[in-house]
Amino acid sequence: MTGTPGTGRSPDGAAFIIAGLLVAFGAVLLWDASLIPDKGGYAGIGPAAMPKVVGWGLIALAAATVAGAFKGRLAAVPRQNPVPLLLIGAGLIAQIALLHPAGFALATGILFAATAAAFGKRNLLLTLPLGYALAFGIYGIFDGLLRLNLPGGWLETLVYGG
Amino acid sequence: MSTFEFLLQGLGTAMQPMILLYALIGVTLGTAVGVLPGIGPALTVALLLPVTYGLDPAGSLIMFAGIYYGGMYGGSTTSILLNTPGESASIVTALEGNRMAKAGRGGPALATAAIGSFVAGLLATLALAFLAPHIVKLALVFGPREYFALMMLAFVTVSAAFGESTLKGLTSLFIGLGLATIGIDSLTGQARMSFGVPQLLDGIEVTTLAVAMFALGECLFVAAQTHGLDDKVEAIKGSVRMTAADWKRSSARLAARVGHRLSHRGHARRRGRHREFPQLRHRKAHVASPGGVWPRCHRRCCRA
Repeated sequence: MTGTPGTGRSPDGAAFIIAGLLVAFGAVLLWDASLIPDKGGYAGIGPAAMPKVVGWGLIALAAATVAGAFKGRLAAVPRQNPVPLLLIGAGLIAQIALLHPAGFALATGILFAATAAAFGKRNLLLTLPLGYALAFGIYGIFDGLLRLNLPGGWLETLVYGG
Repeated sequence: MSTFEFLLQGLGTAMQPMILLYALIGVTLGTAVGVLPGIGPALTVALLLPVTYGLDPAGSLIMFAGIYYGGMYGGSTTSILLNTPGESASIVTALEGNRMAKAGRGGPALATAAIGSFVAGLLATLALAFLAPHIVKLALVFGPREYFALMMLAFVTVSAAFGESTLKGLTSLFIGLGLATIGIDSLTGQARMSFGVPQLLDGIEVTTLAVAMFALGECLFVAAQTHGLDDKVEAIKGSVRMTAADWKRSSARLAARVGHRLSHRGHARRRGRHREFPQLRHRKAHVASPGGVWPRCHRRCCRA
């Protein structure tokens, strides 16, 4: 722990969110391990042993994170700009959701436009077709040259064949 | 020695012009496909399997070797320029090489990766040819205790040596261990953390995680720091050839690692100057200490 010691700031909110997520992950691991019928076997160690160790370890690390936040020993978090993060996240969710109904090219074009918007290019009339064209070309490479099946939309199926 | 004879026979086959051409085609194709993030050497070989259908066994095997090495090398390009490792082997290249590219030294970084791949590949192949029978004996001696010790060494190294905070390192180590428990336990066949979802039974692949952490992480990090478009694209400056200074630096680093602990004197000299009396170098600070009352240096090298 070599953060900036004693900066005098109030405890960081982010540290508590991180600690909460760690506790949640550790609790899920412990809960799942408790469902495993663990006979122990010859060595007394079965498949449930490691998740239990990791789960308790995560909870201990969460406690250490909270303690570090109170003592101000954690590294300072740089200022973040939330809007681009939300844009990229929304684009990623839209891509995953649209991948099968709308096809690879359209879904990835939307992700491209959202990412471009996050980086400051808000002109959707330019970025949407550009992203669509790029993803269309990538689909062609994967489908034609590498014979990898990406989920195709109606236009991909029309041009490159099913 | 029969190893030599077999090796010479193989080299004689490989030296035929057509075979060399196949090797060239294989390396080019392998690099082109290996550059794509998320497609590692093994997948590259699998993808390009149909290309070699028309060749004789020697030609197709050598082309596969070319594809494999091309794929191994191709991952370093995206690692350096985009901070996106194509497979698990080039994650370390992303850690170091991308920093070089951001400092405007992308050309030398690419050249170092290429030449490093060549030298290391050559040495590894030679070692494999000659040392493999002996290393097998060593590998068979390795039991559970030795594997456990190796794992502990790896875990301690990544959590303590990488990054600036041990807490962060340990936290990421445990998150990784937690993610690794997802799927079917390889020893007992017990499904863990799958919640009845069949897709989770296979676990989470290293490549998926590497792309998610490095490519997406880099993208989100840069996006969160931008305030408008004040970013600039860092051109690949500098010659792609390594200069004499680069050669010197790369080899000096290697030699330095070897000789690092060998001499107290060299160690102290490399570590630089005295902490409290920066006008003096370490050894001078000790020698010049009047009557032995000169404050002790806090550096580890001077405690000996």
